[in-house]
Amino acid sequence: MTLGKVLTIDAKTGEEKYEEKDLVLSPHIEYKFRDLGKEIDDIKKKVGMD
Amino acid sequence: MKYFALTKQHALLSDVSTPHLAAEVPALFEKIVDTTLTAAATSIDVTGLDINTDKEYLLIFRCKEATGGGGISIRIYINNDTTNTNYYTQYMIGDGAAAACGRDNDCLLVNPAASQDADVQVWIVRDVTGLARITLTECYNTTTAINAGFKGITKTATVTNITQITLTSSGANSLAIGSRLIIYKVSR
Repeated sequence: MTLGKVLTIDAKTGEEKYEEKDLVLSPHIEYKFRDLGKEIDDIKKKVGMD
Repeated sequence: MKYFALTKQHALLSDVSTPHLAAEVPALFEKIVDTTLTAAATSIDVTGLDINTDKEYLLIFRCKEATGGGGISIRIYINNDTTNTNYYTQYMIGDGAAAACGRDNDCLLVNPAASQDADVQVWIVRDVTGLARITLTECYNTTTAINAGFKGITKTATVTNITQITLTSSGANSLAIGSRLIIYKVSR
């Protein structure tokens, strides 16, 4: 559990409230980016097709 | 409340084959939430929603990672269901000449790097089947590290209404002061 601020907004009344709450935080996830054009060029070079 | 309207008039002007409707029905965007963080926060919880009445929501979130300690993942939850595996996300994101494309059993909204900004435009509907369906475009990070992408997210189970939307960061108090959340209800 991690202590953090939570802002609660009631869309009906517009009331806003900050509270400190213990939260179970999900992990940060990094996306895996691939440059497929470069990967294909590299393979072509390897097999002598460039 | 602030309103603006997009009428069908503009589209019909260039289409002479389509008879103009007797009653023009505008798409009304009514702003129901507009808040700017006055304290760094972990989570923003919007209650009091009713998509059955409101039809659909356009959520705009402009935020900045506050801590400088590392990148964060901001997730979106519907009706206080904070189990990540109760959602699926399909994403396509560009990073220079590289791309990330995939499907996660998760509900990731956007991933700004440390101290970086993010801007997302998020359409939220309850679809014909009754699934909460989220379609978004995103732009985050800056200059030579800018990323842009789009995503579709659904819950795995149907819902009878959408009454609550929650945005939660993976980092404690990592949503910076000045981050702004706007929600329009869109009746069309």
